[in-house]
Amino acid sequence: MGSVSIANVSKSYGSFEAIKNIVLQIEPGEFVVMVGPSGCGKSTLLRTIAGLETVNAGTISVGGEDVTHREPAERGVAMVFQNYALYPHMTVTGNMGFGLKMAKQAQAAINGAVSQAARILHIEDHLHKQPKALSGGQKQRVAIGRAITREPKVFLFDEPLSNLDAALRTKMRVELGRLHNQLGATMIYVTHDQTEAMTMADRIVIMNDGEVEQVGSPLDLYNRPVNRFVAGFLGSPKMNFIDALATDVDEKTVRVSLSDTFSFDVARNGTAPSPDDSITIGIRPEAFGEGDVGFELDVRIVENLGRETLVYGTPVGFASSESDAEQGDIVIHFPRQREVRTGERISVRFSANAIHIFDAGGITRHFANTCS
Amino acid sequence: MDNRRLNATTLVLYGFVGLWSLVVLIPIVFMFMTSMKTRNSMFMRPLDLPESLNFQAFERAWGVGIGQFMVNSVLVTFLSVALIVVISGLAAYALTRMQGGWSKLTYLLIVAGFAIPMQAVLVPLFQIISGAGMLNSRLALVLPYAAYGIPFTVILFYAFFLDFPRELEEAARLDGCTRFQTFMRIILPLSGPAIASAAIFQSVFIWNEFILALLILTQPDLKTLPVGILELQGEFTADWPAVMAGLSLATLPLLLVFVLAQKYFVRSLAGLGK
Repeated sequence: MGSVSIANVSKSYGSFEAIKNIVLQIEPGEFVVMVGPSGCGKSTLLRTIAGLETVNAGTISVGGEDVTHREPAERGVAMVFQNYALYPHMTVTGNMGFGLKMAKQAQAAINGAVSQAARILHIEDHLHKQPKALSGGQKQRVAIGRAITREPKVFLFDEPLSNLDAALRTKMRVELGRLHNQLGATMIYVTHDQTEAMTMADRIVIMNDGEVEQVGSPLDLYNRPVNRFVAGFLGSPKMNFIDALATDVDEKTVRVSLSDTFSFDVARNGTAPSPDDSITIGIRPEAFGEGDVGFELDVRIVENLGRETLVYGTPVGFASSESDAEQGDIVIHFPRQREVRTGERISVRFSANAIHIFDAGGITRHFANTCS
Repeated sequence: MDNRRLNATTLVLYGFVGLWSLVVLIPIVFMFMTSMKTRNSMFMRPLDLPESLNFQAFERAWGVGIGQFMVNSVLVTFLSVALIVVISGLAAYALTRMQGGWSKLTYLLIVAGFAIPMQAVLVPLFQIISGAGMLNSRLALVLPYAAYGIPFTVILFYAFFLDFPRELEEAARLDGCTRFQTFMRIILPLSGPAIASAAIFQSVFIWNEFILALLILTQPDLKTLPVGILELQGEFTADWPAVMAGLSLATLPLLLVFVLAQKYFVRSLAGLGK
């Protein structure tokens, strides 16, 4: 296992800057997940680490060695692709042993490495088959096996579970976690699926528009997002955002006004906004329930998921500031079954301490108190 | 109403395809029938079926050296096609993977080469070959045939390589392959349909090519089939059943190749025009 250092790396395609001056240190044995919306540069960054893309500026080191200008095979990395990228004309054994064959390893060593990887991934029965005879999950295991046989310092995964169905994705997620524990290898994993990011990562790197927005443990990012983008990106359903005004600020509290008739006090815990500043408050759907602030909600859609209920509705007296929220709807998560009908008006409460406050530039000024 | 119109359209299309098939097949059937006839019956009753299975015309055709002509044709065709496939494959791969305007320009120039008919350059080509002292050599056919086959084959391979999954090449790079190794070990083994159709196309053209072979080859033991069969035609008379038998023998190998590899041929042509 090896560390990865990314120092001031930039990559442009013509005038388009895909990644901008990225600095990132990944420790040996860490499982780092890079996540972000489509086109944010996460896959490009992974490909620059793999050596499949050249960089315009900066250096990339793997295991302490500068590999910025080395060929992909000489970097000590192995990559698992979204579409598996198995060689269709070779058997599973051929696929898994191809890298070692190219490295001119003895046949006995190749056979040993392939058998060991097959044992770890439980694909011993498929070694003689060609990729077309395998299911999606088996193909992905072979692709991972191909990476394992090379004993790389760093494993790179480019959305490896995207082509699998939901059930298989959950299963493979657990398998990858087990594999990471078993191998103790450094793994960098790119996904747009925040569930994968939250469940698998030691640390998450959230990217947007070619830049790193925040790096941290999954719960750290979920509880203390540095800005509105991170707060909105993590969590499903996403955080509710409501435009507000900081009408009164003193040493201990900030008075938040959602409208002329609806305001409440929040105990300060960050850099408070100035009086009369435009702010945005963020409330996670699961933060509704009990608390000192109450309002009425006209229910528009109810999603009963068995063990939980999602209610989408228009609040009375204020509205969501999200442009894609129909009629200013917000979403509320109840961690149980709840009898609510469309068209009904219900009372909803939340704690004033359960809100995040973002300034006009989207920077977090106040974090929700998540301790219950 | 729609169904009826669809049926009418289908009928017209089938009718057209049927007629076209007849236009193509009647001369071939006539060739096989004539090769079984005697010279007399051929002129007396040209459209009748042969009275019996008479292979004497085939014996006469074989007697003038059809066997040797066939060996020459096989050699020239095989070498030319091999050269065309290797050069076009490498060129098309490079052109699809190169960045920048030069590759597009080069591709356009190669495509333009496809538009020049061989007859237009026959005289200068003959002078070049003659000047190089290469008359009566197989290489003097192989090189021009390859030059004429490359543009079309590059177009064919270009369309195929554009669609080739990049992840496979990237996986090969991560596995330690150079560009050339990636081409030889990954791309080439997966290019069967494109290679098969290129080979069939070019084989048909080279196997049947007559005019250049007639100009370059005068030595009997080097002649290819189309030129060799001409020996069955005298100055004042022609042994038509033997000529037809020779042509039947010349047609059979190609028919066999086409029947065996036609699925690749059709599949690869379906990918053209990208």
